[in-house]
Formats: sequence, C-alpha cells, structure tokens
Amino acid sequence: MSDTLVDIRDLVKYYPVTAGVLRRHVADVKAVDGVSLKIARGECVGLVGESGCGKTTLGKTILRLHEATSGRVYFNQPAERIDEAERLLAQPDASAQKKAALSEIEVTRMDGRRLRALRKEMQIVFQDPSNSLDPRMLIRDIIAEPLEAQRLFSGRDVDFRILELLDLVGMGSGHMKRYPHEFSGGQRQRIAIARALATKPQFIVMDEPTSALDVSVQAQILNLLKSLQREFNLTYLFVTHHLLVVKYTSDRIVVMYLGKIVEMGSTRSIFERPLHPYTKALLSAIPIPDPLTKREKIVLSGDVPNPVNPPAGCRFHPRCSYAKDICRTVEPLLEETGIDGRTVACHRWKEI
Amino acid sequence: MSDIVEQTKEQPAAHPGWREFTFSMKRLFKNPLTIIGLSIIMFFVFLAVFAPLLAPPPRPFDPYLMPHRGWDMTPSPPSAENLLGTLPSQYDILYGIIWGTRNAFRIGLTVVAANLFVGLILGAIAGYFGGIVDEIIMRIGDVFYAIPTLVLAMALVVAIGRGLQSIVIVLIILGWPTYTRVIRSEILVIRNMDFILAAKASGVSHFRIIMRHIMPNSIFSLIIVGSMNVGVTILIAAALSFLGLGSDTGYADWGAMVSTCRNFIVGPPENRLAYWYLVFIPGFTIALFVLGWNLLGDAIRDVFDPRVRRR
Amino acid sequence: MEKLIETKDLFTEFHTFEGVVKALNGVGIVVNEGETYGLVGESGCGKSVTVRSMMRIVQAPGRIVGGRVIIFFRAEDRSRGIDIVDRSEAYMTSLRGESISMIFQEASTSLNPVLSIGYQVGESFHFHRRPQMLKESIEHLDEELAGNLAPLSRRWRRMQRSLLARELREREAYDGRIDEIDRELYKLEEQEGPAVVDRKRQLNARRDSLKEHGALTGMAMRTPFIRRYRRRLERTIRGHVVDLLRSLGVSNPERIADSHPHELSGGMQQRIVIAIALACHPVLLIADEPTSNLDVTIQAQIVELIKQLKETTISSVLYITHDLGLVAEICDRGSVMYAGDVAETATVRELFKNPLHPYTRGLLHSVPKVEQVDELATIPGNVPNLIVPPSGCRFHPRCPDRMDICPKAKPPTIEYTPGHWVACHLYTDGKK
Repeated sequence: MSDTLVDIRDLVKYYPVTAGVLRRHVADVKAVDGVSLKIARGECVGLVGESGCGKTTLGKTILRLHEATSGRVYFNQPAERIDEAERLLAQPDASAQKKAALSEIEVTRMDGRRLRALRKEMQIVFQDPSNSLDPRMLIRDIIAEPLEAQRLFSGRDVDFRILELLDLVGMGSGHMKRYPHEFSGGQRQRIAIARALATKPQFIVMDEPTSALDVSVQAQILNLLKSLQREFNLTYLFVTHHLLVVKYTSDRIVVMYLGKIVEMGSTRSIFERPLHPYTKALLSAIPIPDPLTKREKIVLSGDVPNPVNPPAGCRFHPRCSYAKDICRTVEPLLEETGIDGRTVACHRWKEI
Repeated sequence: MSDIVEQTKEQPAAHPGWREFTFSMKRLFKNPLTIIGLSIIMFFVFLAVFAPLLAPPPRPFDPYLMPHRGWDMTPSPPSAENLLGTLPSQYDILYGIIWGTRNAFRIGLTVVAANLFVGLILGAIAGYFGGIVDEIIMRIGDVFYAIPTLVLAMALVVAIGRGLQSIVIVLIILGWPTYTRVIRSEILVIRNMDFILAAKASGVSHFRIIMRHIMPNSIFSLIIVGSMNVGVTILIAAALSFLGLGSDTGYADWGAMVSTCRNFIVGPPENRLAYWYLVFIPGFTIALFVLGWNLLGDAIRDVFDPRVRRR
Repeated sequence: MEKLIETKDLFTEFHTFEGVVKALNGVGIVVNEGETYGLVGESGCGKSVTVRSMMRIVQAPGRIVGGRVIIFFRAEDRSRGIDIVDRSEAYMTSLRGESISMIFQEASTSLNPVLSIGYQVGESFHFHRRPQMLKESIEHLDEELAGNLAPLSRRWRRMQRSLLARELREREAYDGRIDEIDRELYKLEEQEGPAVVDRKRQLNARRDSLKEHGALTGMAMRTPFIRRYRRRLERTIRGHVVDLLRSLGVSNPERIADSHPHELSGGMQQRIVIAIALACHPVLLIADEPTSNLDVTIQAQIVELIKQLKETTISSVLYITHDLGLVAEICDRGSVMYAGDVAETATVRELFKNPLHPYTRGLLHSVPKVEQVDELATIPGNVPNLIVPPSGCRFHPRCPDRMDICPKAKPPTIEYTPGHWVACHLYTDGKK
C-alpha cells in the first residue's frame, strides 16, 4: 500500500472558446494549466485561490467529472507502477498496446467499467446544497443512489446502510421520507455528506462545502468533517477561498493562481511565513475577528485577470509590487525551497 | 453524535408524495382562474360524456351525422324545435355543438399527447447529448417554423386527404418543434446542476440519469405548455375545418359547421344580422373551449412552476 | 456624539402564503454621526429587513406594522427628529440617494445592463442636484456668450440659456412650495387628533401632486429638436461623473463612463455602485453585505475604499455583514441580531472582548480564528421559523444558559455598562 493516494502529474484543462459563424476555435480558457500534486493517504489538503484560479475545475477533473485536456492522474497505485507508466509516456515511439495498458491505472484514460468501479473510491461534496440534491427525490433515494449504482447492497440492507449513514451525520430515521426543500441548508449539506460516504470512499473532494452556509452552521459541518476524517481515515481535498477555514481543517495548503500552483507547504509554515507575494496579499486580506490586532495590509491593485489571456511570464506580475523584468518575461517554475518542504513559484522569493 | 434540536420531529403520517399532491391541490384551488377554467372544461366534458342522452342520435350507427328536417337551404333561427337554430340544409346546431365536443376533445388531446411524447424524446436527446445531434434536431425544427403553420397544414392535409384523421396527423407532424424546444431548454438548465454531477460521480449510467433526474424535473414545464396548447390546437383544427379540409358536410364538427354557413355570414340588406347564430354559436363555443384550457394551463403553471411555487 | 438616525420598536411582518413571518420583533438601533456601525447576524436574522424598513423599501408582502424611524439630519429642531414611517413616498424619494444611500450585495444586479455607466451615475445628479446643475450650465453658457461667436450659434445658445433659466426658476418655485409643506408637516407631528390626521393626508397628497416644472418646459423637454438644449445639462453632469469616478480611484474614468456594466469586473462594478450611492454626498451610507460575493483581495480593496471615503465624503456608514472579521476591522460600534431581535449593542471592542449575550458568545466561538483551535464550538440547533417563532426570548431553545423565565417573557433591552446594551434575562436584574 503506497503512501500517496492521489498522484497528479501536469494536469491541464482548457475550455475552448469559439467565435465566428463557423465556430472556429480561437482561444482557450486555461482553467487548469499544468498542475502536479501528490496527496498522501489520510491527509487533508487545502486548495485555496480566488475565482478564476481553477481550484474547482481541478477538483472535478481529478474525479473525471470533466475530461482533462492532458495530464495524468493516478489513484491508489504503487510508486513503481507510476514510474513505469511515466517512463512509458516519455517515449514517443512506445507501442500502442503498452499505452493502452495505461488505461488500467490512469484515471483520465480509463474505460467505462473500470471507471465506474473507481467511482466507488472517489467522491465529492458540492458547494450549494440546494443544487446538489435532486429536488424531486426523497432523501432515502438520494442516498441510496450511489449504493444502487455500484450494486453494493440490496433489499433491506440498503435501508440499513442509509440509516447508518444518516446517524453518522447527525440526522435521524424520520428524515428518510422527505424532500430536500423541507430541510435547512446545514441539514442538506449533511445529507450530501452522507451520500458521499455511502460507498465507503477513500478520497473525497470538498468543493467549498461551507461557503453557502451560515457561520454557526459552518462550525457544525466543519467539526463533522473533521471527526469523519479521523474515524474513517479519509483523505480530503478541501477547496475553498476562505483562508481561516483552510487553516482549521487542512494539514497542507496549496495556493493556486490562474490555473497554476504558486505555493505549497504545511499550513503552519505558510501562515507563519508566506513566501509568494500573492500568498502574502491573500493572508493579509483576511478579515480577522479581533479588533485589537493591527496588521499591515497589502492591497493588490487591479482585478483578477481573465484566464483566457494570462499575462506573459509570471502570471501574477501585473499586480505584484515586487515585479522585475525577469518576472515579465520568464515564467517561474515551482522549486523546492528547502524550508519545511515548501515549494514556491517565484523568481524573487529569496529576497522578499 | 447528534447535537441538533430537531424542528421537524416525527415522520408525518402521510406519504410524502401525497403531501406534495395535497399542497398542489390546495394551491390550485385557491386561484379563481382555476375554478373558472375547470368549470368550463367540466361543462364540456359533461357535454361530451352525456352526448347520447342530451342529443339522441337519429342514426345510432353514426352519431356524428347531424339530424335535419328537410333540405331547405336557408338556415332557421332558434326556435322551439331547434333550440339553437339550424345550418343550411336544416342541420340542428345544438346537436352539432354537443357531438362536436367529442371531436374537439379527441383532436386536442390526441395531438397534444402525441406531441408531448415526441417532444420529450427528441428534446431529451437534443438537450442531454448536445453537440451535433442537438444542432440537427434544432435546425429541422427551424425549417418547420419557417413555413407558416396554417399554409403548411393546408398543403399537407390536401396531400394526405381530407378528414379529421388527417388533420390530427398533420398537427402532430407540425407541432413537435415547440415541445422539443421547451424540454431542451429545461434540460440545458438542469444538466449543469450539481445533482447531475453528483449522480455522475456515483457512477450512474447516462440512461438512468435521464430517466431518474432529468425527466422528472423537466416534465412540469411540458405539462404547462401542453395544457396551454390544447386550445391553440383546437383553433387550428377548426380553421382547417372551416377551410373545408375537415369532415364532410353534415358531420358534427365546429369548424365544419361554420364552413357550411359561408354564404350566410352576412344576411340580406334589410337585416344584416339575420343569421347571427350561424357564426356566433359555434364560434362562441370554440372560444369558450379554448379559454377554459388556457385558464387551466395558466393556473397549473402558477402552481407548478418552481419559481412561483413556494412563494 | 450626535444621533443621525434611530429606530424604535420596529415591527415588520411579511404576509406570505405559508403564514405571517414576524421578521422584526421590536428592533431599536441608533447610528451616530461620523461612526461606522456594524449590523451582524446570520441569514434570516432580519438585518436586511431592518435597513429596508428604515429606508421604506421593504418589498411586498412585507409591511412595517409598528414602531418609528427617526432621522435627525433634516430637522431644524435636532433634538426631536422627523419620524419617516408614515411620510409620503415623494418625501422618501427625495431622501433616498440624497441623504441616505444604499448599496447591495450583488453589484451586477444593481446596475442596469443596457445603460452606460455614465448615464447611471448621472441619474443621481439629474434627480437630486438639478438646480445646481442647471445653474452651472447657465454659467458655462454665459461664459461662452461673453466670447466671440457666430450669430447663429449665439442665437442658439441664447435660446438654450433661456430654456434652462426657465426650468431653474420653475424648479426653485417647486422647491419652495415643498419646503413650506414639509415645514407644516413637521409642526403637525407633535399634534394629535382626527383633524390633524386629515390635514396630514391632505398635505401629503398635495406634495405628491406638485409638478417640478411647468407645462411649457415639459413640452420643450419632449419636442425632438428643441430638447437638444438639454445636452448642455448632460455635459455638465458628465463632468461631475468623471470627477467622481476619478476620486474613487477608477483609472481612465472617461472610458469607463462610456462602457456598460458587463464589460467591467465584479470589483469595478461594486465601485460604480458606490459611486452612484455617493454622487450626492449622502449623510449616511448603508451597505448591505457589499463584499460577500467578491474575492478576498477585491474585498480588501473595497474595504479600503470605504475607509478612505469615510474620511472625506461620507459622514457615517451602516455596514451589514455576517463576517465578524469585517466588523472587527471597519466598524466602531455594532449590533448583533438574532431572529428579528437585537441581542446586543456595544462598541466593537467591547463586543469582542466582553460579549454578554449567549448568542454573541456562541457566534464568536464558532468562527475559525488564526490561533489553532482543537474543535470549533457550535451553537446547537437551527435558526427558528419566524412564522411560529419561539415564545419569550427567541433564542431560548438554543441557549446554554436558559432559565425558567426565558420562554415566558421577552427580555427588555438594558444598558448593562455605559454604551453596552443587551437583551437577556441573565442581566435584567442589573447583576450577573
């Protein structure tokens, strides 16, 4: 059993932009532009960034809810097989059969049957609970759906399992035969979590699960997610824009900007010492619920740019107060910093 | 584990589907339009169901042949024998109205039901799969839209052959683009909702997603369009009958009844309105029938449209 | 500090299909001059309904059914204030945008997508600052007439000037009459009796029926060729609009003024909305969660902007939010609301350091903070249904310090320490 559960290599997702009468492909919305990430078993990785940075798209592409444009995603594979596959792909003249063998282990190339079996292990909780539950289905049917699709239980066992799940998320049997609109936002999110847990997955993508909820309900849901992770040794990819939530829930933080990772590291060390200018600005912009703390606020100029036409060189340079010539022309790659295992993508991180 | 004070405590006695149904019914009947619309339609249903009692057919093997006393070409005004008057050749108007109700229902409901079925399937395919399939279906629908409905209907009916049967077939052929379009746009909205993605993430097959998620959520807009379209269908059918493409003379069909009176719409110079009952009575019946269906469709929409429902 | 606006025992109800939602249960807020006041609470607590009741823009089926809303910035007698709950709609229209402005959460829906930015920002000037704009246009025309002009242009400008001057005269006469009516209404406020109520209604009706300009001017404004004289007015207003945009930190204001809302980003749109709100230098700016939908860095920009504007243009800000961090950052004083009641009111420092109400305490403990916390404290239960609200204190079903009296009686609001008000039975005896 390998330690790395999800291994993402150079994942790219472009959305084509068509224009003109003949619908020619003129440009691409570069939602995710070359992301490589390793998520260890039992870990909670927080993925932060603002709108347009691609974090939601990344989460959904890993689960193959969107088809990736290129890149590889390995789920629960031993390191040797991954290395072998990568070597294979690096050889342009490798035979087609060998490449076809990749479809057994690599998520973006898997065929229907294997993919369906994989879906048992990977699940997702969406942002808006009023959208993620079918308004015309009973709660019982909503939670039973993944069980039935994966043919896991039958007959009375299904109901038994549903009761078990509802109990895990703090709801009761009386809630089974009701419709989603009869519940509050927090309760609906609990139902969505119960549905995600139904097939006993190993990996769950949390797509901003508390952004649509009230503050006090948010606390309940976050506590629930934490205790579930401990109890079942789950692995989370926690996508959010709220940095304090990420601080509370995640072990590691990945900061994204315009489709690329700009900084990565343990939560504590990123909060203590952010290295990338964007991370610094992001951290200083969080409103702190304590009127006595005085902070130096870094206010970024300009707006979040358009992912169709990202700036040349370092994508952050138009808004960066430390930008120099090299930043405008050469794109910085993620490099190891040697501090706490941090990686950062900035030309000038040592000086700032 | 549970730290919630539950507001919704015990399971209610009734089944949830029944609860929703009673809620809908309550809302439906609070609306005065519904009552009026329903009454009108109930009235016509009554006429249709009890036609043999209300207007005993003189020729039991073909009740749609209207009775007539004599062959006088001039229509007679309402009198004791013919309560609503007669058409040229002395066909009894009252008889025609009552038995014509059956035809109206038959045409309206058949056409709409068939169109719902076709539209549902085509719209679901176009909406869910998108891409080239969607384009092809929509462009074919555009072709049907481009040519004026009545003109095309006339041409097709003449080609197939006259009669109410042909009218029904032609209207089915011409009506599907509207329903397809409605379902397709609903599906385009629903397709991007998170619960569809969640079903995909659980490994549910395409077919099941369409049947279990997309259909039930988009069906209500179809019901609304359908109930409003029954009225329009009758109008077009009556128009075609009026143009002479429906049943032969002497059959109980509202449009055909007006058609026979073409020469008598305006009376002699001294009394222009002498034959008012010829146009007015069948025309009024048609209008009332269409009104009833439209009101009902409006009321259904007010109740079932999810935007307005939970107000 | 001087009071600016105050509500007393405000009750607002919504008559919906499912029942009567008792949204506000006797809300009392005081906003002083020169301060930023925060209104905090979760969804459904009534903070939006409160400010909408204050501005009298509650949507049907909602109605204000009791209480008073008193403003202190228009009255001659500043100690008494003017109760605007039953003033006429025309009075409220003159108040909104001019003395009190409001900005909303979704900037993109606050702007009309088919009109240009310049037009929309200029609307405030058109409506509230007409005499001033007319005067400025006339001045510009006078300057031009003083110089060398061809006889045709001279004649055209003369005509423009006379039309504008005519409009100005009529407008000033109208303003004078409105002032008279308002003064009389103000005197009548203290009196009671059926005759008074009748006279008030009569005056309100008369006020609503007065027209801003005479018939001839009205026609001139509509006749196709003649109405070009108003272009002069438009140009003056546009100058003001561009200045306003520039002062808000919008680079390239001329180009922005010509563009449409969909061409701008969310942060920029919110800036425009703020510009519209501030066009006439209101005394009070009400901001209803203006940054909830924006990214964190854009939110920081907007918050900085509001802070700057407080120094220069606006006197006071009433900021509604559910984010306690924002309250801590920008507000001086604040109120915490729960289910239509004001639970606690104090300076922000007091609220965070020394929260009295159990709800405030629960809220503060359930927010993730920078220091590592093992598990977030939660408030058990859900926000109550306001059609059948809990009896007595509306928080009692979820309160960890519940006592016997709590379900029975609504707790009065008392001043526990100077400037710190709380509505909880724990403190009503003056001890705890």
